[in-house]
Amino acid sequence: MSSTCIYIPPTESGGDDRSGSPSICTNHTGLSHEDEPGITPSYSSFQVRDLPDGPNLRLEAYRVAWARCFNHIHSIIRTLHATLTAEIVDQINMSYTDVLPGLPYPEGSVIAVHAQGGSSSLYANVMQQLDDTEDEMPRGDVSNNPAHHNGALHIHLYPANCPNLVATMKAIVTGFVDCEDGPVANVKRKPTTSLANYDINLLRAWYDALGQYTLSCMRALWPNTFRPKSTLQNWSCFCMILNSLIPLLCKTCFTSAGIPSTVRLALYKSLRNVDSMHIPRLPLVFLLDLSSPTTPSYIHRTYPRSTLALLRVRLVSAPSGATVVKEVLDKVDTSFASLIPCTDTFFDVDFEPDIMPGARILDYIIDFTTRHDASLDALITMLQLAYMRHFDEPLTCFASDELLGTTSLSLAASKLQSPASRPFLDSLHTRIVLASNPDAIAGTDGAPPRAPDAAQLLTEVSAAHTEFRRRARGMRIALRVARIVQRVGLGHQGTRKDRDVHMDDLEMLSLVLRGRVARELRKLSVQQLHAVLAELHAFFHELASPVLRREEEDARVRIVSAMAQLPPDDLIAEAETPTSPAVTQVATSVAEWLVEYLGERFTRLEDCALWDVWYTGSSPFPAELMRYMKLVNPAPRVTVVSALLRPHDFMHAYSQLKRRYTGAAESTDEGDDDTPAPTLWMHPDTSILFRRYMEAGRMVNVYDWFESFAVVLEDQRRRQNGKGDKGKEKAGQEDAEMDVDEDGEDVDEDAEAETDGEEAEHWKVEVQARFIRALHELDYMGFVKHTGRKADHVIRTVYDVPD
Amino acid sequence: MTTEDVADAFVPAGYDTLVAHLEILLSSYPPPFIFIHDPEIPRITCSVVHNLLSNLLQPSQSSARGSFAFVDAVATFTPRLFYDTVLNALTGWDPKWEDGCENWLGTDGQRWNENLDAFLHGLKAVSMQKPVKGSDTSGKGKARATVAEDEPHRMILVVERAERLKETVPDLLVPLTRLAELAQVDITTIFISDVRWEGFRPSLGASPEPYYVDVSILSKQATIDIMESSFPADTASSSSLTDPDTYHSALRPLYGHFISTLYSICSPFTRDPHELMYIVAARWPGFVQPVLDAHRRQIEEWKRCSHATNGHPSDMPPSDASEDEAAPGTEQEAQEPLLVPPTEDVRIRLTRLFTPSLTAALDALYPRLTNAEDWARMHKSPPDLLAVPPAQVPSAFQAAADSSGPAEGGIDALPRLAKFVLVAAFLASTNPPKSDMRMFGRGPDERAKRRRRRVSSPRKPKPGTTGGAVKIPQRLLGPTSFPLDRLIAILGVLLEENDVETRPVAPQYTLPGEYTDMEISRVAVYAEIMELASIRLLLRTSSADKLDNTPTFKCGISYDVALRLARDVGVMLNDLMWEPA
Repeated sequence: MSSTCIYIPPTESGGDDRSGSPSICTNHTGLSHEDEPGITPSYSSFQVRDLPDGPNLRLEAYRVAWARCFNHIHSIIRTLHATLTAEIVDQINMSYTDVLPGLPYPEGSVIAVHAQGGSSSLYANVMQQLDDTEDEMPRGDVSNNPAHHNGALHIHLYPANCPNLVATMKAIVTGFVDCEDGPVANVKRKPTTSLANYDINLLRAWYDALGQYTLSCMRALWPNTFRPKSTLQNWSCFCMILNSLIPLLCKTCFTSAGIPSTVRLALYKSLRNVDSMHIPRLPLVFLLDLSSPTTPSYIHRTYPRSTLALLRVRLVSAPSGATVVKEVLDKVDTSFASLIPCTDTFFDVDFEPDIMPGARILDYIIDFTTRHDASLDALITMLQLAYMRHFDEPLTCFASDELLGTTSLSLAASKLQSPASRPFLDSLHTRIVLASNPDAIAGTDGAPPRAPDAAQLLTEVSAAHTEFRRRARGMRIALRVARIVQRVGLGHQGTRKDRDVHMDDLEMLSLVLRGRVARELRKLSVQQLHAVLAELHAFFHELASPVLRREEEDARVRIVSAMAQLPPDDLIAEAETPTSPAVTQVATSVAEWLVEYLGERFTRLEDCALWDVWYTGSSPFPAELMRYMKLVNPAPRVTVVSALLRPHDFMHAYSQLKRRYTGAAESTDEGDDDTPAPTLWMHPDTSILFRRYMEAGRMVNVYDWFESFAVVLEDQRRRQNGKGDKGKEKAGQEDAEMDVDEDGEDVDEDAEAETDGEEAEHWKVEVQARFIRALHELDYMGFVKHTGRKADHVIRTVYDVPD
Repeated sequence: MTTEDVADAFVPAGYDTLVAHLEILLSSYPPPFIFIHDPEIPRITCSVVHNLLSNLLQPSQSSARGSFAFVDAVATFTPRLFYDTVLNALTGWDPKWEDGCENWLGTDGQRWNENLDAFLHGLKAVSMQKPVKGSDTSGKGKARATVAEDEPHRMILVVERAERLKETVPDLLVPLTRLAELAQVDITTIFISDVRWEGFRPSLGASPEPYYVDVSILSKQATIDIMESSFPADTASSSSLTDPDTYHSALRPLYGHFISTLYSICSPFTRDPHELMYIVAARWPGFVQPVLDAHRRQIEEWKRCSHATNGHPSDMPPSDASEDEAAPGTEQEAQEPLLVPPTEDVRIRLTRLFTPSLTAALDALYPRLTNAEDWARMHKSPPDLLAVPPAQVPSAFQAAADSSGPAEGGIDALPRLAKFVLVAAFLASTNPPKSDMRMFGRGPDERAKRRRRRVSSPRKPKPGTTGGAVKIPQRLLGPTSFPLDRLIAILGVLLEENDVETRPVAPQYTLPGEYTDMEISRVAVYAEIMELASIRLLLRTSSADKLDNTPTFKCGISYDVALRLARDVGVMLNDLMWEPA
């Protein structure tokens, strides 16, 4: 019996299925375990009704859909960071040109940015923008002040480059001086008689040379605005991304350097001092990527006042992770599935995702991000996982188009007609028939299924897609409209914190649902009504896509007419009669229209035909495959311990999982529910050993442990041999327990005893080998800690395990 | 030209004695090792000494011939850097990029930075160097005397922040104090430090006793004089933040008054002129803005009048109230009104308005919680303050402050679980481990134990008796370290009591507490702890490479932060603390 008890697949159903999308799934996320032969083929159940090249088609469709979604997320992030990026770049460029006059001495400029989740993209943006300003220089407008066109040379400094002060200075100096395509030609230096390559004077000499070099360059470019003294100083800013200079902050652990933190601290203190002494001649800007938040500022906590006094520290905080997640969810995806108002959704009407995550998935993501990790990485990974999970379904090869990987509809139809894709065709047909006529299934059940017309089916798929998209669009717009009404009309000013907004959405949705919006709207004053209508009008007016505009033509007309009916704002305002009959009438009609409009659009997306191709519906987030096996945020320790304690439960759960995917046909291959709880001897070796381990004290005597293990194995051997060979078994038992009770009985004849003795010897060796193997497995899993002093004792690492 | 003339021109107030003292010493027969101790403001002392030396040894001076090197012990963190910097400075050599940044090599192109011996030879070479006429190596300290060529010239080596020598180049400390003796040249070593020589003197008397020079503490008048003399003369160096006229020469008297007010407020906390000037730089633009606004309004009035009267500004009615305040009695008839010092009334009014903000500036700027520029931006004075009626002034200040509040960010944006972990870490760091069972034990048996123990071991000594030493609460003593398991256990209690309702439903967990048990053993919890340790909100006290040992941590947040986080997640922190605040 193998001792890796969790992952033994009871029946292996073809190893070559792994080329399909499920195994891609594990590859891309890195969340699944590497060797999960059992889980991967479990998806193969769908193969019954899959196309021959279904996995590849779906993989392609997935790639297209995910790439769209991913790019959109990136553009959202970029927009989110745009202002911050501009601010940082501005500060870098103006660091030494725009200085407060009257300071006692020049300060070194430090910009410390805290970007929780997604700092790398922010830095990439900053770098890009800095490079852009550099590129723009030659093309710069003559009238502009050249100081605004500071080229910024920058180097990246990583904690790994900075194990000590000398190395850090060397990294800084050579980083600038020795860059290949630098503006100054590199001059050969003698290693002994020249300045050391960690000497800041070297950088200074280089910078002086650089200044002269660019000076001549400038003279050619801006003959009119050339101002030698002032521009020379400010011409180049060195922007040093001390990517987590403060090593303790960075996520890319500094621990590998292995210096005690006090040394590190001293080192950076002196580094700061070194650099800030040279500030007047070397405009260095430090851009620090902090991973610790800005409010209990790490910089202020770490550096003494004397060091801080040399610097001009600016703390900049990027939008927090939660904001980013919300923003991304709002814009990227999303519908809010069905009428369950449980998702935080606001959506970008101008972006149509291929796949819409359903309520439960969004719920999960939101919960995870608020609770555990609001980083962008986590969000993207989870969305990707959801996407991939979605493409398990064979029908999803229609996600982007209905051509099935061919170039035309007729080719696709003939592909569908081929005998190999018959099951797929049937399932598709059933779905479409079912959608159009729910009772039809009863009729076709008994009769032999006739071959459906493939081309027609494909057209229907296409129609369903169009219909689905129309509905989803309508829903997005309706939600947007509802938000506008909520924000402007019902007095919720959108300046609260995120969580409140989330709550407000829920309130709002329930208001909409209960039709109370109408009542609230009727009570609006003229000014408010004006504001609401104006906002709505602007919203409809600014819709980007022509399709949407055409669809929402009615609503626009409606709003314009309502605006026309409403008495002008200023006239009424003076009269102070907010409840004049004319206003009430308009308000009522608007309210009624709004309720009807929203009701029309807030429909269940599940009602569409083939909805599950484009919509994940209420399927859960693929976080948990079975009770003990989580893909996202697992609890490995508990899982391992409970697997060791109850290996059979795991096997059982596994078989159930398998049954769920493969249908009831294979349900009998593993133990049933009413199997009695297995006794100890039925367990795998490691499990037996672990049981014995749990019964021990803090220290475990390895020999005693072996003894007790051997007893169980003996028991196991006896029972497995059955009642067949009692004598042998007895002898074996006796052998094994020789140390325990000394007085063995001589009952058997000599010949048999001899063979028995040989066998017993074998058995003994086997027991020992199995013990050693099981012990090493436990050791490998970290349950055993060796004491240095007592050779035959080990220390337990896990106590009080719930039984 | 006497030496006094030279010195006087560069000496800030309060440093006369130091300068006179040093000057006499250095121009006659200096001791080989001088130690200048300035506990207060070594930075100014350094600049004074620097000025003195560059004047004393400049080529036009015939009284002394020599060169000096000014090195900072922080910057010269290896012996090689030290040798290079000193020799280059003594010879006035400026390494050029085009020459491959070569150091000064002397006549025979020898390498001087190899070790101490080479350095001493280098010093000898410097002192023996015959200045060549028309040499391309001209520097500020370069000796160019033409008289008495055979006389070796004097060298002075000043080491700033000398206490750092002990850390950066400990082996050099003793040789530097005996440099003249070792190199057999006329060289004087001066250490400037804010630490006393006893603080880092090499043991066993390896160094000779220095000649001590103590810098006296600056008097009030001297400090104010220094600050006043630093009124930026050049208004061209203004930033986008300040008005171009902020440092107009007409405002100089007001500046003087402003500085004395500021000194009287801040001197109990700091008397460092640089620190005070830092605060001045941040506050002065806002302080003077109302005066400038009033002046600008006056100019506008004048322009309008001159337009109205068709180019006859002399008819302008002098009825403007602000004019009386800002520029009484100026000749605004003939030309545009000039900026003049404000009247006594205006000055007193401004001082009264801005005095509260001076203490605020001290609070924020002295510990550098923010920088001067940002502070000045955040505390701009409300527009046209002098025209605002006195009753509305506080609200105007309020509005100006509100408009630019600091952006919210930081610890509040942490995920919910991270907040729980931090609160748990704070509790684990402040509560004694023995109290855990009593504070967090939940269940019948623990409660019984708790009651019993409380009876048996009274915590407080009886009133009246001293009970030994006064017990200081752990909260004030700093965090203690705790093992990871304890943190997880406390986290479990907190989660079980405060987080159960917010979790998504999980019907598979039936036993009470099973769900929480599962939650605290998840990867995300451990990941969160490591993440917090990496951003230093938890401080890891055990070494990270030892996988065998259980990791220990310390809490890295203060009581206030912990309280805020606890309130955020709904934990009653004070109830769970062994010694509540």
